[in-house]
Amino acid sequence: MASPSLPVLSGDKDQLLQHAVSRLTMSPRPGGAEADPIVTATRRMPAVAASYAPFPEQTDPRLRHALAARGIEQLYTHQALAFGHVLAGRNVVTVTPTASGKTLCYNAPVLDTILKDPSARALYLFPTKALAQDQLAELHSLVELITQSACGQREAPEGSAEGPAVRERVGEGPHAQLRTAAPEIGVFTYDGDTPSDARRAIRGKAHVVLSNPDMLHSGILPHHPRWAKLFENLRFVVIDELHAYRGVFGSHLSNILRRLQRVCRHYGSDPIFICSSATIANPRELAEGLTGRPFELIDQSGAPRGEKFFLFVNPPVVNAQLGIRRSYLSESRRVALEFLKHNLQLILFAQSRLTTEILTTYLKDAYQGPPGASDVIRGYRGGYLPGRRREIERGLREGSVRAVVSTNALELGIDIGALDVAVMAGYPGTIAATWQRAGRAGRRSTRSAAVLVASSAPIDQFIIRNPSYFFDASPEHALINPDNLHILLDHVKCAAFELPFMADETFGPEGRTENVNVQEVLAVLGEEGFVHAADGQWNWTHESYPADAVSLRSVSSDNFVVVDTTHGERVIAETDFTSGPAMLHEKAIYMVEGQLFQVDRLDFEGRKAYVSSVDCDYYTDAITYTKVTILDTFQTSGPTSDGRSPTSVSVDLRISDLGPRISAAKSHGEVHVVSRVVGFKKIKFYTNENVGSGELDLPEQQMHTSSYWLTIPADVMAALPFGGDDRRDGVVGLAFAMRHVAQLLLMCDGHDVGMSIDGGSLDRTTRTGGKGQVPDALAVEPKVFIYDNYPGGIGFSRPLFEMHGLLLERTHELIATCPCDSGCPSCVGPEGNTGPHAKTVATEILGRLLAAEVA
Amino acid sequence: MDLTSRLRSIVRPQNAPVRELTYEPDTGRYEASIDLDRVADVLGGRVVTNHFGRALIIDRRYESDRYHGTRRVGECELPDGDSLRLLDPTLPVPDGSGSRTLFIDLETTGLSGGAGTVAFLVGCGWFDMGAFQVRQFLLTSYASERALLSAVADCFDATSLLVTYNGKTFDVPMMETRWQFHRMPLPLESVRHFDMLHPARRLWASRAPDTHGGASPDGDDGGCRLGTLERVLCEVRRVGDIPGMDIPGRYFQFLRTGDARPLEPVLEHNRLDLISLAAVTAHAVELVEKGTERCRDAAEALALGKVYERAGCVDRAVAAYETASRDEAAHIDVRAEAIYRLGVRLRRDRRFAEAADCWRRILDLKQSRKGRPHLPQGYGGQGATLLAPLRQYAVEALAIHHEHRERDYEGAKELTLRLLDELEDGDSRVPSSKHRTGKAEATRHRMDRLDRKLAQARERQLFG
Repeated sequence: MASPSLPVLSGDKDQLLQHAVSRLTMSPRPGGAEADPIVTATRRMPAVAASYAPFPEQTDPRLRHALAARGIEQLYTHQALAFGHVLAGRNVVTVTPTASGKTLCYNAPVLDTILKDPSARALYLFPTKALAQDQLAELHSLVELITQSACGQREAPEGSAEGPAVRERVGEGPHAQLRTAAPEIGVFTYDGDTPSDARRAIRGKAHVVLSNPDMLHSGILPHHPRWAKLFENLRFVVIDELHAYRGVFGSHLSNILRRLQRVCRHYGSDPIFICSSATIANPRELAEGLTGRPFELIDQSGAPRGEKFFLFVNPPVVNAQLGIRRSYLSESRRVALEFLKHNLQLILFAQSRLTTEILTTYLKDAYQGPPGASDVIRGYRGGYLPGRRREIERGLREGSVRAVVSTNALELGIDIGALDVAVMAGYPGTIAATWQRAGRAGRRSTRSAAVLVASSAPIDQFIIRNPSYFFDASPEHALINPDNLHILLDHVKCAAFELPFMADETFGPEGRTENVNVQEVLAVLGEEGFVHAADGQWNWTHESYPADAVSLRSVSSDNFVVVDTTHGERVIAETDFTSGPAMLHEKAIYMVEGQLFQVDRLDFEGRKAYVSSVDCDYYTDAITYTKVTILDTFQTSGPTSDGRSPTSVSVDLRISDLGPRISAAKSHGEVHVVSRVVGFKKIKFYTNENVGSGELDLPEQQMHTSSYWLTIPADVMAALPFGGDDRRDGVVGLAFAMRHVAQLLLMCDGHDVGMSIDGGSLDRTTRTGGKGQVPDALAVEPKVFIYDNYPGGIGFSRPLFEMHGLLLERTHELIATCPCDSGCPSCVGPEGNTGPHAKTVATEILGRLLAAEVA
Repeated sequence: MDLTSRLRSIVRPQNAPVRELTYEPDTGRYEASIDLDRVADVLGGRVVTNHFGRALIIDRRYESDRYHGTRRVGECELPDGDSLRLLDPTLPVPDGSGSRTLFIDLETTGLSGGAGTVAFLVGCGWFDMGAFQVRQFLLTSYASERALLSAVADCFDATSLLVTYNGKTFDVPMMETRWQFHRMPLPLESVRHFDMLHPARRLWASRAPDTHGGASPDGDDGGCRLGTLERVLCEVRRVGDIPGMDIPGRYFQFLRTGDARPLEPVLEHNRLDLISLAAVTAHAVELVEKGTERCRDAAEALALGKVYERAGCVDRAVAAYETASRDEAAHIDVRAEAIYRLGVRLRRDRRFAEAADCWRRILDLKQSRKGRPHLPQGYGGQGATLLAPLRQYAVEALAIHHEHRERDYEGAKELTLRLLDELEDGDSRVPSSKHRTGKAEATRHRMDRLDRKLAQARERQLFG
């Protein structure tokens, strides 16, 4: 793809950026002119001018003056629209890019209402504590301006005498007048870090409470009597970063909002919801699904945008036969260094905590920065303690940190200032997340760049070779399943704890039939003694505090702490329960900002890993064994081995109707998944050589979830002109490719789905390498499972069942058109792992499955 | 699987043994009916009616000549006067409104608090003509909670002082939550509240922990549970007492079956807690009023000294520290701490010479070889743990005294050398090595300064 000629710009930084981008696009192709290009796409997104709209007429003059003091004389069109909807009492969801002034969409109507009625209250929810802290600073400065400007314009004829608060204040003596002619607007965060002696004061004084779903769930709703003042007067619920609430987290939040609305009804309030979201395909549907209310959608931003370059980089092939490309980590390092050398500040997104640490090490090794400044390169990920994180964020804003390597932890709107460049090491997995990460670079007027460096994972290679799929397609849908029985049950318990359920009460979107009858749920809870029915209501009759048993973000609320024993004992990090065994098994190398630790002992029961500082040139990668057992088949269709007709066909085959008619046996249903970390490999930095391995014996983790599965008929298997091992390799390769195509079709995150072949399968936990080997013999009719990677499932299996035809077709396409000879990481997996004939066998199986249909 | 079976498979843990139910499983298809009058009959109570409905009240009277352990009920009544403010200096001065002192203790459906935790039994006690009158309010159904709360609020009227055990953290917030839940006015807001737990901790926390352990709303699981104190201080022996952890289960059983008989032990438990609260409070008041003569041992005298000091009664504090420090039978740590506190107190009062005597007394203390009959918790299980840091403190304080008060630089230097020795011995009991090096550095600074002062003094002697 030809790169567009770059216009010359005046700013130093703009020129440096242009120079760096040019150098990248001119990179020589190691394989000569014939080889695949390294930069496969360069898009220039032109600068966009602002479009403005006036403030709604009834806007409180104190608010207008405060905003004017900040240089805001008029609103962007999307802000004005949102303001208007909220004032008219409509729920609204705003979808706008980073740095478009989305916070004013909710701060303006909320502050306006509080100015006019100081008894009004608002609750803000952010997905993380850090975001709430950020917004607290923003709101404080706005409230201060209101107080100041209300003072300064008391003489003005219009406005300031309006409002009960001002009347109250007049006559309280000169001091009170001097200090404030606006109501004292209390803005507080309320989260796990709030000291307990401050909590009581906050409950009384806060007009705006900034919190997170976890705190609302376990700290506010169960204690609603103490928050009576908030709930009686709750006018607004603001949900920022709405797109973060998908999958399990979203399904939990939806139930928490059901509980919130029950409590509001108890206190006689009926708040308006104001949501903001990054770009996703279905923001309105998500907002409505989460809250059970109708929404107005605003998706046209009126904010200006600086020019941005978007580059796709594909690491060059270094071994055509094996389809091996240069490591995308090294390539990302090269790209990042190019920008760093031009003194541009950048964020480098990695795919996992492990790759974050590896890239931090690489960059630190390669770029020292000016002498004496050792902290110009920082790592950033979940698991770092809050103090360290705040320090890094500050360093980014102040410019002392020149590059940060981060997981998706910095994808959300934490204030790290305006960076020049965002580099993504590997495709983030979704179109929405890619735009979100790219948005961390560039603000309103400056030029910026985003670079995506593809890994050899099939999905990355698909995207990088088909740029229009990314640039022109719709972003993903955010799916939630609030009626997941595991999640629902937990929240019905919490809801019963908060307020008794009436014998005719429902739990779900108002005015619609529930998917799951809550009275039936209560009856089961009654059998187990959690609730008791008397006098027409269900009461909580249990000693426990049910919210404590629910973790909103992971399967269980457990976590592991990492204790450094090098000098005394010191907790240096933590990790959630599910990833604990893979990251913290004995002899694992654990990394914090490039510093290496070895796990000496994992106290599984005590949830502690004792580590000590080491110096070595390798890291470890765990091997996980996964086995899936079918519990209940909801639907099956397609021929079985004995040629019987399909056992049931009941769904409308919407998507497969589009393609040729296909009938391999497809099913979906409930499954039991057992996984266990069984070993690890030692992998050398830079060369990625396998320098050793070890076996492990760790407890297994189990879950019930929903799954789609493909059954390959026995006659198809039998007709393959290959031996047992090769057949097995073929199925493994097929499954490897299918999983990635499924992810693309479902438009979900990589970790949202898991894959297994019956008999069990081994999978590396990270994307740094390829596949392990299937240990057991293959069944006569092998099954490939693609399951929801959450207990109870979050609704991917049925759509996948319906897209079965498309799934097989696309998988066939991916494998057949891959330029490698006999398998590579981008189709059926690297040959060394999957076997010499995997690609051929997988193509053959798919061909037969697809042909069986046509016949 | 149908919905109900799928729900069951989630609610019941995998492979968990089938639970033995102590009650009829509640399927929601029937509602147990609770006959209030019958319950009143079984528990020996009566039904009162108010604006919100009917509530059950159980009254019991304990005459003044009856004994609770070794203490007469009549002697549990708190004397008039300000003695409680010695135990809790934050307690406001009585404003003369109301007259009754009310003892309160709750039995609840859980310990976690929150909207779903209910106080199903509100126990109140007060003295009436020398006798202890107990009134208990029992919640017979969740739907009748407003009637109960209203009846309790009536009982709280005319109360000028509330006495609880851990009520600041547990009982009062719990009750407030219930009134707030029903959006009823709070009756307790302006009432003075004396929480016996905190003075009890100050006086007796260093006692041996209660072997019957377990968290309880009666404070902590150490030596300051009410159940431990009533045994240690009043020799109360309960027979057939229901363990606190079984109480919510009994209540849920009652709700499901309507059979009130299992509740009788719960009511009795609550009544005994109320009397014990009165008895323990009276004991503490006696202790602070009568002073060290009533102390059982030096540890108690030391604790009493701290209580006095906190209440601003310096003379009594000094006397109590003196008593503790002179007790030859006491553990050496107790004596060392008493002398140390005495010294700090005296120095604060600018009685420097007497303070210096204290520092010397600490240095003269000898570790006794005799086994100790009672090793209080917090003073270490074996041997002295407090002595070494206190000796360091004393050497340093004495060095300062010699340098700045006596201007005896030679003496100060000698002491400073001794301190350096002790520090360099690598005393493991000093918390961190960082602290220790800091300390050593400061001491070396002192050393240098003293050397300079000595040199100057010598120069003055020679030339001046």
